[in-house]
Amino acid sequence: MKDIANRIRELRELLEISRKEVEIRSNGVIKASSLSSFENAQSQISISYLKQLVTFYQQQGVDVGFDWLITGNGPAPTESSTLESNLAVIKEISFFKKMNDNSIIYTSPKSIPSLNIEQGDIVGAVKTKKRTQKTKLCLIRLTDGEYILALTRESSENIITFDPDQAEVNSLPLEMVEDIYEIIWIRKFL
Amino acid sequence: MKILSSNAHVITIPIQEHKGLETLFLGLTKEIKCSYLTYMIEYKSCKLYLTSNEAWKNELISNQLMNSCPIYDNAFKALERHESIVTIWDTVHHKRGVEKDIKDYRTSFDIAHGVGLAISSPEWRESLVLAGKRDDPFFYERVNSVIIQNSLSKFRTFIASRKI
Repeated sequence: MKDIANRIRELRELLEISRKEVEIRSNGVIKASSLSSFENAQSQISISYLKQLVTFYQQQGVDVGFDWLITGNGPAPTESSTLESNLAVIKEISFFKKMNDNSIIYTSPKSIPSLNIEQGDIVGAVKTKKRTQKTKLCLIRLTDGEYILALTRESSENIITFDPDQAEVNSLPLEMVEDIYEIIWIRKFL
Repeated sequence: MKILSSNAHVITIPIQEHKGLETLFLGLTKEIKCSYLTYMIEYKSCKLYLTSNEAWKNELISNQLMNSCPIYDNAFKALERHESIVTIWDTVHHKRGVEKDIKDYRTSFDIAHGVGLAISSPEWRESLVLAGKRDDPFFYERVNSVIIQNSLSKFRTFIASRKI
């Protein structure tokens, strides 16, 4: 049981994605919570679920066989198709939008190395409802229609944005800000 | 670096001139209401550009609007670090000014809500675009990897047959 659990984890780690990312990419078919319990050998896993996992990882461009997952025999999994995995983003965006009301999808127009964001990465964000003084990665929509992607902190009078790479701090008056969206998903390409 | 430079050698071919590609386009129109299809392959400074919309091609290629389009700019810059990039047009912000003007201009040709795929190899760069009409905001949801891979395959077969 433990060995299967390790192999299930190995598959996910091959793609370097979180369990939540698996849930999004599988359109919710594979739940992050279930995957966690299987990877940690905390619950029995059915054959049909194992088949689902194999199918999912194959769709993500991983060359993996059912035998290997069950027994550990056969070739170890490898990434075979980055193209297939990258194309999956279309479905993932649809799923993200369906699962999150008041959300926005945005292609990052710049790289923010310290936050591991590259130009072209796709971010999913949800509109923040209540004010918080915690610093978060947010997408700010300004009243003039422009956007700012930055570490953000709100105060009663303004919005502070922080660019750790440029060591720049900016203050935006509240009247300049239309909406603030908190980034909850970052989709990178292989 | 500009996507199109003044010394670029660009060959453009209307998709409608090739029966196999026209059949592909008509099939996509029927299956997913695709109203715009382009494919470009680049090798050094040579580009072969196939399009279903000659009028927009004149603006994008001949008038070099491609150089100011954030969709192409984002994709090709990101492609410097990846083998392939998928772009959902509606997630790319067009800044006020030239970028926004290009978006409005493109929309005036009834081309919108597209999905782009850019692929790089050590020698070649390819880009494939499928788009819908302006009143079809969920067009991208009908595009899937089978459709894209099939379209790519058809264009690659066409290129191979031309022996360029």
